[in-house]
Amino acid sequence: MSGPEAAGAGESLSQWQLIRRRFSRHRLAVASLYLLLVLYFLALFAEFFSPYTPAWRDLGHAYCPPQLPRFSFRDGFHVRSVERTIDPVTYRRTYVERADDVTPLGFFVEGEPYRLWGLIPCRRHFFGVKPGALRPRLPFAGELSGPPPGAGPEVLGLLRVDREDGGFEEHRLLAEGKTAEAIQSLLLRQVLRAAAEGEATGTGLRVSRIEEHRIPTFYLLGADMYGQDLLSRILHGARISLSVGLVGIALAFLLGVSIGGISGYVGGRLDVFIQRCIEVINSLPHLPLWLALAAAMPPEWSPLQIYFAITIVLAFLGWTGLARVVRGKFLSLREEDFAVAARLMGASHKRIIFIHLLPGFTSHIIVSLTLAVPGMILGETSLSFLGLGLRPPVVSWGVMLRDCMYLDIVANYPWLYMPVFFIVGTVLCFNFLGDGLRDAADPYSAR
Amino acid sequence: MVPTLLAISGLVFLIIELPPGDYLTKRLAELESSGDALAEEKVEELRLQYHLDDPLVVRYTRWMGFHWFASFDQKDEGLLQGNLGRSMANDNMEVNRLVGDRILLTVLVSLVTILFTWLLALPVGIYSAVRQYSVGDYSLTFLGFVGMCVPSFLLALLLMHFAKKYTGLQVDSLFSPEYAKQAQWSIGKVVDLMKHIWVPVVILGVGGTAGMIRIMRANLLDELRKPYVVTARAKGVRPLKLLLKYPVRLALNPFISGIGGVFPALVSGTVIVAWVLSIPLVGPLMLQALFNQDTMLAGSLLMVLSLLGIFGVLVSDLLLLWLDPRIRFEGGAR
Repeated sequence: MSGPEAAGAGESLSQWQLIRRRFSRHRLAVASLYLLLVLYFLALFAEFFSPYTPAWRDLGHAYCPPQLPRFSFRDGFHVRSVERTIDPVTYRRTYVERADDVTPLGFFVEGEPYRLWGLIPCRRHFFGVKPGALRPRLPFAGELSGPPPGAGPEVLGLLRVDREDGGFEEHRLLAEGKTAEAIQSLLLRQVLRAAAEGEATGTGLRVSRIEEHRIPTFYLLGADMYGQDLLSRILHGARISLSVGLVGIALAFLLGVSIGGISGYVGGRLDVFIQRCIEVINSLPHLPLWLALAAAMPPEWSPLQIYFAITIVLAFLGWTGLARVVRGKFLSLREEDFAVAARLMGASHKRIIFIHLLPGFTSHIIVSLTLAVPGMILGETSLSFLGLGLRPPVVSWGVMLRDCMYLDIVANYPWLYMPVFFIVGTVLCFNFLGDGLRDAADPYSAR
Repeated sequence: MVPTLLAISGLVFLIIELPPGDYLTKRLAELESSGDALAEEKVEELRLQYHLDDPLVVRYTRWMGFHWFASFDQKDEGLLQGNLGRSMANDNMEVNRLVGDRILLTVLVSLVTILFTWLLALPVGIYSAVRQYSVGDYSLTFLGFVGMCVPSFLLALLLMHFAKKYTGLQVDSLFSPEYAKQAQWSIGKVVDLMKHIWVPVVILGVGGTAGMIRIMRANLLDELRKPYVVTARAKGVRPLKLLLKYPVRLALNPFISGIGGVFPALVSGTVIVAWVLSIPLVGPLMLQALFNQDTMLAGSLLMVLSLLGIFGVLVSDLLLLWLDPRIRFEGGAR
């Protein structure tokens, strides 16, 4: 059956070892499995792997396009800072990269504080903007230093500008009408540019105009309408979107195996009745029913309750496929010699079902489960997308896509569709994985 | 069939009745906040008119129109008499009038999509199977997989965007503006509809087509491996005739029964796509009703959609019965 090299050792291998061997030949399925493992791992440690918290926002960077990380020996990993200009007529924001101004990046940097799994307080992120590494590059030859000793609190620093003739002039940076903290937290480049444009008066440089509060930011996948980091939100959303499928499938598994098991094991009228029910449920269009069920959730429920309600809603229609498989297997295995023998020896129903029958088709159950997960993930996404699933403070891929329903997003901010790629990728992976598992679990398959 | 429909109507009714609180509490709050002195009475009137104080079973029978068989009174007409009830949120309008052409259009879009799926999936599936492992097969299979996994609303948005950008065509409706306002059907309106209907059809069809191609390819491959094909080939039957006359015909069977599975999915798909494209189908209206907790409207529309799904399954069963004599004999013996 399997290749010639397996024929000799075939007898000594268990069923699971055979399945594993056949599965490992299915390259696409193996790759999908690893990809899914990576995705789930990222989702598990979403707080650590995302550069920001999902609620973190910088309105000054709304709709900031994805930034490409660069590497140079002088700056290490960095991105070029972006500057926003707003068209006075159309209010369209455009972001311009500034080659002269970089935001250094680093791995394992300290950033936004978070609690891992809501428990362990932590500040480290896998990667992000290096804190305190702010090195404003001057638009002119010169040097910036801290306030000179003995100066008053209104003096922020000292600016030395090199002159063409070899000498230099010194300016004191003065804050006007701003507290020192406010100025310090603002990117000093703003100050320096003011100096370069000749706003220096006499001995001191007056900073009277502060355009906006600018923090160096890094959006690997761009920002949404509130200036929230898309990557962080995708990673946090993955936690919900990926787990909804698993929890839903666990519920569907319980329902499917027990109902299908009863149907197949008991047989007779009950079997006919249950099969009719399954036919009816299968011929119903799922989405409208899901929507109607989801609409039954009271709006005042907490996100956790809604989450579980949705998994129940998804499982409510998702168990039928599994029940069919289980029933069919029960029907055929029930009459096998070993099952009849067990019955004649006086084994209880429980023992026959769990010890003798179930292990015979565990692999089939796993295959059906794998193939049913993508449907559930897509179900959650469509529910949230249509506004009857999870709601905004919660982040899931469907919730994120709710922002991109409008045509101008396609035209102007296409990176907001990034969650779609993750959804499609996940669904594809689950399909490939399921296909591979099915081929591997089927002892009569040609491969 | 009849017990099935009864069971479904019961299920639909139960689901619709699930939400705690009803439209009236919302309406009461609205009226009170707008300072209506007669708020209580108005709501009470509505409550009476919709018989909301009756027990669940009585309301169900009323909704279904069982009472009509006892009284033959026009006001007791229900679903069975084709009366979908009244909508609470839309000024007590009759659902039938509110729905208007939507049901017809939903059926039309679904049927055209099925046809489209067929016309596309059949040749592509045959090609994929005959030229197995060719570049064309691989790329088509890959495209099919992607088409199956890309959410339809994204396709809808992309299509809208590019259609607008390159052809200047406004695709977010089934009709041109001058026909959209016109209630009467005319030849011009039908022609106009035909010009616009391809957008939702293509979007909806892509997902189903991918699935159908895979089914067709797998079945045909199974058939092509059988000895009779080799025999026929050895006897010198022309390849095309051989292919179309025997293996394709046999492979069509699961293909047709596949339609039964595709149809409910299609009806599901119309909800999202119609909502994104804002096409006047049943789906968006139902969503709106669900948001408003407009029980009667949502329930009736859900029932209509479910009926559509079941109708599709039934049609595919009948087709299969007609196509494959073996099934007929088995059915007769039972």
